[in-house]
Amino acid sequence: MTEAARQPASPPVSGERRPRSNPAAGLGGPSRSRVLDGRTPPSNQILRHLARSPWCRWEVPVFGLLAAAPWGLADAFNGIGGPLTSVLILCIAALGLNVVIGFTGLLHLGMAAFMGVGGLLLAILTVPTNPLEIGFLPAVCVGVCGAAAAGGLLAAATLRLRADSLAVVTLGFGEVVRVLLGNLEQITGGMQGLGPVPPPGAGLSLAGTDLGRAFVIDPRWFYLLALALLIGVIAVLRRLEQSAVGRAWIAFREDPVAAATIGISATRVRLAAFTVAAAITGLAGCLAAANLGTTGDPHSYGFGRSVALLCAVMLGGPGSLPGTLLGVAILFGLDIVVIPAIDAWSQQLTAAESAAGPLTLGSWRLALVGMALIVMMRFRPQGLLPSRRSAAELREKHR
Amino acid sequence: MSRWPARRRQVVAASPADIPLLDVDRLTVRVGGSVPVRDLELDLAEGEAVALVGPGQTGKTAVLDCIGGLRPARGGSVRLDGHRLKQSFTAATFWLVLCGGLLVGLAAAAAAVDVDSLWLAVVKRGLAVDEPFTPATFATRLRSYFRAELAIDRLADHWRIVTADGREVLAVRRELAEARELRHQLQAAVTARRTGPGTVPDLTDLVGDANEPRRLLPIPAVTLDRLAAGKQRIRFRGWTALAGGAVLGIAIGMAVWQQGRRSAAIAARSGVARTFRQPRVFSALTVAENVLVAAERAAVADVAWWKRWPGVGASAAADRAAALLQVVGLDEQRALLPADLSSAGRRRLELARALAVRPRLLLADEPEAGLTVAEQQSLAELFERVRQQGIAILLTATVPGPLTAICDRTIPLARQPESRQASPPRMARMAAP
Repeated sequence: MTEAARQPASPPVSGERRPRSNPAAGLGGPSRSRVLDGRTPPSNQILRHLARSPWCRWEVPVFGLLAAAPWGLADAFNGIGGPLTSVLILCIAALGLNVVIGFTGLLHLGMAAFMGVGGLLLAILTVPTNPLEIGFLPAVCVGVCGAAAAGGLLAAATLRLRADSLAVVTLGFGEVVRVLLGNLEQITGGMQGLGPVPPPGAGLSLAGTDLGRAFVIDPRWFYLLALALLIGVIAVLRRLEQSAVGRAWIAFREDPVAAATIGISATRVRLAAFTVAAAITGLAGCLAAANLGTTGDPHSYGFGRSVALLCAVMLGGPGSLPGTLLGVAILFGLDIVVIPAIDAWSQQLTAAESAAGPLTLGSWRLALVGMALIVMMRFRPQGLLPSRRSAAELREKHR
Repeated sequence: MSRWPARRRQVVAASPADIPLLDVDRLTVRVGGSVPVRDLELDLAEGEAVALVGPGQTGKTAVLDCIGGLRPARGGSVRLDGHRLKQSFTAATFWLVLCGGLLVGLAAAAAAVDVDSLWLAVVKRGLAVDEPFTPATFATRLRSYFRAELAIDRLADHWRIVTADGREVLAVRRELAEARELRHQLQAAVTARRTGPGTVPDLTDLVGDANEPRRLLPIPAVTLDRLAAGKQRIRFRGWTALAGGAVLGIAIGMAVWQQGRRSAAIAARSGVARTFRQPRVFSALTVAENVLVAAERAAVADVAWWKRWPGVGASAAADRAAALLQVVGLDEQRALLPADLSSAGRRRLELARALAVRPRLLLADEPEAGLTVAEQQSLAELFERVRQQGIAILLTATVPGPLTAICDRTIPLARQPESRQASPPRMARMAAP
């Protein structure tokens, strides 16, 4: 018996209480719960809190740079602003998928369908060809809630399914939604999609400027909106990860049987995780529809998009928020931003002299991504930026 | 004795003396093709410790699984305080299942009545013809759609007579009164068609205006038949789909409820904790988090779900987890991952996690397996302290040892050779991958 166990454990004295009050957060590094200890003046406390908080590790520099980009790199931003906004929106969608795959370890192959549901509800409630037109913000709320409800229903219908069959059913769900989007022409606009979706600020004015016009004219507005929502989603997920619910989800992912023996109900975990993930992805779908001005081709909510999101999460490291962002930045950033830019540049260079047409990377991009994924799965299966928890789990499995 | 974290659940101990804490009645357990345990009788009082001792393959683990809700019993019953460990069917469950079923039914009905043309008829048509979208017009159009009636629309300075789904224009008139008259006649024709095949109206009256031939549309009998059949079809389809979908939805709801009905999670919430022969700790969580995650569940277990705001019970759970880590002697290692602990450490960690559930009954599966004699001794002291807190213990062991020595009773389990036999086809099935 160890020494500590032999000695009678004394009742907690007030002096010792603080480190013990939050054992999980208090140990790996400086505790965030120490901020309000009342010894330092408030302003100093807030500064210290900021300096110690994990936000300072990468979020503040990265998001600061991203927020400053439209002004600092005004010339370059005009070219890539729109695609960059799309990448930010896909980041939100991938974070939603990360809730299911990373936090609870369930495989979901139809995540893009929730983007379709969210975007469609937004479009139905705002396009001028429908008499509803309830405004952007209420419509986004309805879109997010609708996507969440769809996620909850899907989870309720698949509660008994284990890993592989669950993946197949979610894949089928995604295809059903895609086909419905294509075939219910009066409601969804069919293959052309439903539009035009008015810009977010339509009808509102701020200090004399018409926000609707501002969103149309200047892509920076939408870029900043997407960035703000992305930061909000990350804050919520970070909080979730550190909360009791998040820990319960991790426990369920690790060992469902042991989790059940401490009272964590698999039913509730699955319902909650699917609902939260669908809500986040539905938000991304709303933003994508508003950004494009239409819900677009139903195929953009099909299997291909779902798998691309899955690849991005696996590339970055499931369960890790920065990893997911990095995965999306690499996969979709390459696809949407970098390769078109390179192609445009090489076209300018070679168009004059080459008769055979310029060499385009665009036709090679899928091959490049595929090869990168194969190489990564061979040499770094835990992802580029694995979370501490996933890394520990993987290490344990390969012992 | 150390200060043990307070247990709220002891209130239930007011049960009559004749009802034991755990009452296992004629329990029969099946593992694969064999039935190692038949008609097991077992009573445990509050704070009693009992050991199931027997060699391997005698169903010790399976008995614990049955009591803990991890495995369904083949026969017999397990009661805690005289109640079976099942989630009851409450009023909330009833309403949730009913509403979910109706939702699925509505979705099915929407698919059956052609929600696409319903949308066109109810939502979009008014926009094309300048009609405001109000609840009144909404209700009118919904009614006319489900009655498969003809409707009058305004388009620019013309009045159109259209089918209720808005897809087909039957006639166009410049005057409203004229359009109404024509609609009346057409509707009569449709109704006549609907009442029986023998009463075909004379349509020549409707096509008779020779002065303005361009405005007159010939109405083919096919259209008339479709309109006549439409009402019955839509209603029949709608109601059958609603009923079928609702039944399906209620079935799904009941399956969801049944799924969580007899589960280890329910047993844990009723105060049954469990440890495993191979300690099953959460390798991705730190030692402290492993205990905390169980303490957090227990801290909100008595709180109604709408009061479970983030942070409710957090400090109580943290205090309890810290106290339990001290009790099992893992206070120093709390920031480590379970992989860094010794096997004895992992066993202690699992014990702390089980105690964090605030159990009244602890099921420990071969807690001494893989430990040295000294470690077994200290673990036995720990179990003795657990028992002194009023927690009943049911543990298993292959041979008597320090842990079985602290128990009040020992129940020997023996192999049942006859029960291990299976028919050759069955054995072949079991051997197949």
